[in-house]
Amino acid sequence: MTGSGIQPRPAAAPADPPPFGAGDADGLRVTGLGKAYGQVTVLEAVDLHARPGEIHALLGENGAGKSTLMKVLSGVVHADGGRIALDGRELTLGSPDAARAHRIRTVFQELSLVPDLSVAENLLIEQLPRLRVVGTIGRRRLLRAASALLDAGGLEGIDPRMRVAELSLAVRQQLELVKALRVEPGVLILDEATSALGPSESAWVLGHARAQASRGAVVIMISHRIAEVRGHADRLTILRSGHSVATGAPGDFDDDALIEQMLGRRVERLYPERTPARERVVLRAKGLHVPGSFGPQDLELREGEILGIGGLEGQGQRALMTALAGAVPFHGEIELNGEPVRYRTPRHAIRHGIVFVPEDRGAEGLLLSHSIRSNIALSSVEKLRGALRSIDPGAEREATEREARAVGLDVRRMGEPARNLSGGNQQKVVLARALLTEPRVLLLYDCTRGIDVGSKADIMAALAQLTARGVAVVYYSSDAAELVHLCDRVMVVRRRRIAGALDCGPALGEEDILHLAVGTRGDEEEEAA
Amino acid sequence: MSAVATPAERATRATGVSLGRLPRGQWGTVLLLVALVVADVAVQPNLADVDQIGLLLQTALPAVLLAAAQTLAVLSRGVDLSVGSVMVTTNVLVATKLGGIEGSHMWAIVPIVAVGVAAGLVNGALIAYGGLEPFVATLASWAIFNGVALLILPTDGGAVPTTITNLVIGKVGPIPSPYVCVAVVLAFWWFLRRSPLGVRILAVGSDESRAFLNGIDVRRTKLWVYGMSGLIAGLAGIYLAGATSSGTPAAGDGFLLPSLAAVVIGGTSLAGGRGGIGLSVMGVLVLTFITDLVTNLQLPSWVAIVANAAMLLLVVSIRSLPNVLSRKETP
Repeated sequence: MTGSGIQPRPAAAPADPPPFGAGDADGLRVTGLGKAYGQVTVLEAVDLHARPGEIHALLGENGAGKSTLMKVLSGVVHADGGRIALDGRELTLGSPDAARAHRIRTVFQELSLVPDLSVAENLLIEQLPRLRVVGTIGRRRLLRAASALLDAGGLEGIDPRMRVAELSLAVRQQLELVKALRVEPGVLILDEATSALGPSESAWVLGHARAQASRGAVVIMISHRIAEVRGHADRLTILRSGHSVATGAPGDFDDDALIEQMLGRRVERLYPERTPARERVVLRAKGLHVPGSFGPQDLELREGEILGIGGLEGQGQRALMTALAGAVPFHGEIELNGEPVRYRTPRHAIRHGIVFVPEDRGAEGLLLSHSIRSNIALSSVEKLRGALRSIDPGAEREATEREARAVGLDVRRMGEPARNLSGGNQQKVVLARALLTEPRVLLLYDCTRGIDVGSKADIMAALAQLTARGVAVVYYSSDAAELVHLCDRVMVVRRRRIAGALDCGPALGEEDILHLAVGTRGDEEEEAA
Repeated sequence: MSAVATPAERATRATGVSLGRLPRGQWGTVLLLVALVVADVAVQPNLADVDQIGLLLQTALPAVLLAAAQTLAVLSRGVDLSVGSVMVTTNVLVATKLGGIEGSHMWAIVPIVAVGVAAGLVNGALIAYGGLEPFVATLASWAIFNGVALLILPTDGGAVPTTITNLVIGKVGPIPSPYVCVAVVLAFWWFLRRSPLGVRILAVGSDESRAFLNGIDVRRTKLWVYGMSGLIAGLAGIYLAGATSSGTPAAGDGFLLPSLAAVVIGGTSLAGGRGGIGLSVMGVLVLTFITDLVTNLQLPSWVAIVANAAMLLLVVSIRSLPNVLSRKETP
């Protein structure tokens, strides 16, 4: 498809590959699938067998490899090893076109709709050459075909002429399904197709999934909502760290067993001793609301506290953090040490001592060609001025080395460019820069993602020191273990709301967070909302 | 709103967005253009004449063509810095290689057109298959083709077949040919926008990875974009030769930045995926009429340059006003 050499294989390949699996109505069978991106192995040994007529759920933590598996099955990503067979015939899925030729249709999580094209053009994008009238696409034919698809899918309310970018995420997700159903799929893959949907739209999606299964299609559904899996899947397979670790009917596992399989063994302790949080409230938010993304919700943060923010990805945590950082407009009131404050930009927030450290080190202002020292000093140059208002080199050296030590950076390397550092050490530089601004409230967004265990331990130790001095930390992490072991309290966000707050202590386990995150425990189903 | 909601209205209500059928800013550009034409005619009443406007169009046409070529590149989320130098390359080829060829022997023009296409395909291959940034690849070919033009014809001069000159300044039936040329450009865009290729170009410019997910051959689409850009730039060079009756090897750079300015004034998004050649043609006309107005007011020529820049800022500021007023979420 993309030019070089990869030929989409036609649906009926002339030379039939040797039979594999149980033959005709075997469904989709994946054996020993592996995939690595450079040094990082995402899939190691995945087996999956989804039969025709069943809805097969795929469960796993973030990063377990579910989405990569789906991408391999859709022909977007090429596997390094293993076999994929459909009804006993081995498939080569070299491109999205090849997968489509085998009637494998995917509802992508990162939607495949092109934002600047109309609904009609998107729905029929594979069909456009066939809709031509004297060379140009027949507009009437296009609109008629699109309307027919929308009607058949039960989305009569959508104007096929609208630009996709103007539609809400929920509508786009529904369109994605309608598009996948344009050709009767032999295999329908739903990659978190309900994650942006409310209850009635979710039911609509799952109704279509069931209808396809009843027709004899293989339906594979990735979902984080355990209740949804229990309610709709016939069988399930659990992935953990690139391996398929369990498979069976949903009834074979209770919730605890499911979650234990998803989490696997606990990570060893790398968390420091912490002095308990003080009583005094540093930051209080009332009715904090980022329309469409988070809240409205109240929030309190105490001196010396680490408040964990947990939950599945994309539930509104980022909106919460960026709102507190002043990077996103929000409604509601913020009190700092009892005083009401107003800020609209990160710059104002920093003046109030509220500092945000984002997850993306590269994109978020590490100047890779500059020295570690000047990177740490970057946000605090005003404080480091000496004679003639230029930066005082002595003060700069002293201050940056102090913070570098605090986060466990090697002070002998301060003159080296930041690009020489590993990801973990780069993250320490970002943290040291934030510390040098002398924050009262530190907002850390997934700052340990993808860094090595040693750096992680250094950062944790720095946070423990910091909170002992009274600084308050809001700590979002996609890793539930960190939340349990580092924080004083954990707030779990689900569907833009705080689903519950948990006090951390020896009794708290990761599964408690996961239960809240997926909605198997806690303030049950605000579904009607 | 009528008692029974149309599907469009229902969709609008469901998603809370307006039905922006026309790109924002398009009407603003139309109004601006009309205002400029009216002002220009007020200053110079004898301009209100089909032939006079035709003459203005004739001088604007190379810019129109280059803006069209540039628009294709920008729509695919690229840029083509070589449009001006490809234009002068075919321009000097016409002025030097077609001496004495007239009338029915004009097929000799075909290899010259092919040079433009080839130049574009080289750009496209470097970008699509070589993985070069469009800016870098076309920066290189900008310099190379400028050099080639000077190699072929070191100074202004040469001879242009009268067949070409007559085509440029003559009439097609009763209609002066500049009008026909503009109409052809617009028809080309109308056709392209409604072809599968046009949709692919917009899809690639809008979001490359999603285009890929939809089975679009991203690289081949880019090859098409730059190939067509080269073709149109090459035709612009032939037209320029006809309009000036000579080869002008150093004229290319004066067209490059205006081609981008016209794209921006028209309202095609530099981020790709939105806009069109029709808009860019309007952009060229805005710039043309401003320059003409300044000339007719007998203001010094630097005023025209500043006025062009001011117009660019004005149009772009007005367009971005809604975004500034409702501060968007920072990523």
